[in-house]
Order: sequence, then C-alpha cells, then structure tokens
Amino acid sequence: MTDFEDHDTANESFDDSSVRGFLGSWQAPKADPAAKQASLAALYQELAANSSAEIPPAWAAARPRWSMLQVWLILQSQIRLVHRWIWAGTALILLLGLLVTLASNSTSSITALPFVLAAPIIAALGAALLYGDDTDPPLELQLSTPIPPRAILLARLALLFCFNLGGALIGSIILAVLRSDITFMPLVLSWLAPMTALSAFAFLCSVVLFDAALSAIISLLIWMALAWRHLGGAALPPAVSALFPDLWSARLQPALFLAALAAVLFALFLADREIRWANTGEN
Amino acid sequence: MVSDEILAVKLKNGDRSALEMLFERHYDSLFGYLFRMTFGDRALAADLAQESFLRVLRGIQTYDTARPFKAWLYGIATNAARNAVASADTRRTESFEADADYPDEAPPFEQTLLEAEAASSVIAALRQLPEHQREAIVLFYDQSFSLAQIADTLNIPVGTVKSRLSLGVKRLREIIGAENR
Repeated sequence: MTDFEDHDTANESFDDSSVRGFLGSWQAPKADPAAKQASLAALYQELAANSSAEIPPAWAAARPRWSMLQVWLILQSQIRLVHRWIWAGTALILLLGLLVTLASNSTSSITALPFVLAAPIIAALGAALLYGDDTDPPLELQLSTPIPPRAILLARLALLFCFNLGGALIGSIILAVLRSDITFMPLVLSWLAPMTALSAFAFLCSVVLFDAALSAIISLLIWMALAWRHLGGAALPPAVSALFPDLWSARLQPALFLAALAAVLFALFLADREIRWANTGEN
Repeated sequence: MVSDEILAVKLKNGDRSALEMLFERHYDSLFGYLFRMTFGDRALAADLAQESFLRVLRGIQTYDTARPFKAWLYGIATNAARNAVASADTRRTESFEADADYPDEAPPFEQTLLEAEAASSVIAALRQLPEHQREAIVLFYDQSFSLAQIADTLNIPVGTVKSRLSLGVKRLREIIGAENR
C-alpha cells in the first residue's frame, strides 16, 4: 500500500484536535482599521481607473490562451527540471556512436551504420526517463502551478526531441564531411523516422506504466529486436520478419511518423487523467 | 444573501458596492490567513491583502464564475504570499516582536508573554513545514476550508490535499511531541 492510500483509508486522519489546539494557541490579531480603510480607498481608486479605461474589443477576449511568451517560459522552466544526466548521457552516447561510425570505415548500407542504429535508442531512452515517479522530484512543485500536466510533458518531450534532433544533425554533418561515402540527406532520412517513432513509443510506455526504468528496459529490448531484424535481413526466418517490421526501411517512414504522432497524442491524453496525479502527488 | 460569484459579476461591470461587499466579507479572514503565511508579519500581511484585492480587480474580467470566488481570491493571495516569503525570508519573527507595541489595546504583561511564547512555538512549527503543506494546514485549521475548497484554491486534486494535510499533521504532531518532552 502506498503512502497516499494509507492516508486516504485513514479517513481524514488529519483532523487532529491536538494540532488544532496548538495552532489555535496563536491567534491572528484584528486587521488594523486604518490600514483596511486605506486598502479600500486604493481599491476604489483602481476601480475608477479601470472603469475609465477603454473596454477591450470582443476579439481581444477571444485571443489564444497561450501566448508565445508563456510557451517560452514553460520551456525554459523545463530545461532546468529535466535531469542533467539525461542531457549529458544523450550527448555522450551520440558522440560515441559518431566516433564508432567514423572508426569503423564500414562500406555496408547506410542504414547499418552504428550512428544510424544508435540514434533511435538514444532518443527513446531519454523519452522513457522523462516521466515517472522515480525520476520526477519536481512533480509536486508542478502540481501546485496552474499549468496543465500535459503542457509540462509536451514541453519536456519537445525539448528533448529537439536536443536529440540537433545532436543527430550535427553528427550527420560531421559524418558527411569526414566520410566521402556518406551523403547528408540520405543519412538524416535513415535515422529520423526510426528515432521519432521509437522515442514516441518510449514516451507512451512511460506514461502508461509510470515507471521510467521499466519503460527504458522495454524500449531497449524492442530496439534490440528491431536492430536484429534489420541487420539479419533475409537470413532470418519468415516468421520473425513478419513479426518485427524493419524500422529502418524507407517504405515504412510515413507510417512511422503517423504512428509517432498517434502515440504522443495518446500519451498526452492519458497524462492528464487526474487520478494518476492525485495518486502520485506525494512521495 | 447575495453570493460572492454574483457580486463578482457585478464587479465586472464596475459596481462599486459589489467591491465593498466583497472586501468587507473577506478582508479580515484573508488578513488572518496572510498573517500566518507570513509568520506573523502584520504589515506584510496587510500589504499582501491589499495586493490580493488589487490583483482581483485587475483580473476580474478573466474571472470564471464557475470557480468559487473565495477560492480564486485565496489562490491569488497564496501566490502573493509565496513570492513575498521567498523574497523577504530574512524578516523572520522580529516582526512579531515589533507588533507587540500596539499601545491602544495592550494586554497585561504576563498575557503578552504567554501569547508571544505560543506564537513563537507555532511560527517555529509552521516554518518547519514545507510550503505546500503549510498552506493546506493553515487553510484547513485556521480558515476552516473544506477539502474541496482547498483543492479549488490551490488548484490541485482533493487527493493531494488529503495527502498534504496528513503529512503536515504528522510533522506537526512530531514537533508538538518534541516540545512537550
């Protein structure tokens, strides 16, 4: 039984007479009548100023709830709240993937390059760790703000995805410059769809399971199976080929983007369910 | 009696009497709430109470009448208190001592001493609570808010309110127990 459930079943155990008596031993004084009158006078003044101000047009009242400034402020706050090791780990593994690819000098297909294979799982692991009670200490803080949970999660996902995208693009540029057998656009297209799909799936997984570590393990296992399927190719039994799609196949790219979009939308829908937040608000 | 929400609608149209009624209804208890949330800083509590009403006036056009007015007002006041306490944390309890020299209705010396002792115990205990637990505790015990009202005020689920109260009470019991030993 969790701490929360324990409190809940205790049926309002918080209504305690000793605490009431203790707090009641300190009574607030009466408000100073002069200060109260001064406050009311200031309010009248403000009201008069408001009344004389121009009434805003109807279109102004119907303007979007979220201004660009608000979106920027949410993104900025989430940069600080996402664990530093997610940023550092992602950058480090991308760098390792890049170095291994540069060192390998393999002339096989572009989709078999270590960098192309590694990019999706790096992004997926980061996305899996974005949401979960064990990786989210500032959750309580966020619950006390009027920002909806799904806006916070969307902001985090967008930030991390942009970070991964930026890192992978830089890596691709370096590869395209340093290796004459690699061209930039085919390289980008080879990892973009798998990376988007796998990170969206990992995010959905973490929202459904509410367990960052388990989501990361599941994502890793799925990625290993898909990489095995991709590298094994025709050598694999037909049953295995039918069970696992080739994530790096160009034919699947549009479907992967659509699946990623659906997964993120579904995850955001689930993330706003009140009971989830209520049950995990206090740890 | 006209409800707060109807008065708020009137206030949206610039009704001065609606403002006065809302002010008279809520100022004293709001001051009491802010007095506790600022650990007994009377002047700061009065400033914050005025600031809260000013924010209500400035934001009245955006007020959603589906939400209880009192919850909206206390939500604004809670935010104002959080900011003030965070930025003026150095004030500590000296302000309470400064408040003791109100000559008009000064109680006997012994009574003042006892009150000051009780006050400093409660202030010290409240200071030991995390901010979110302190808010829930003060709203529940001092302002007699229901769980739903606290949830509306702090914009959190009722389950979270219960949890904050339970943890806050548990902590306070420990503090009271330690004091009595």
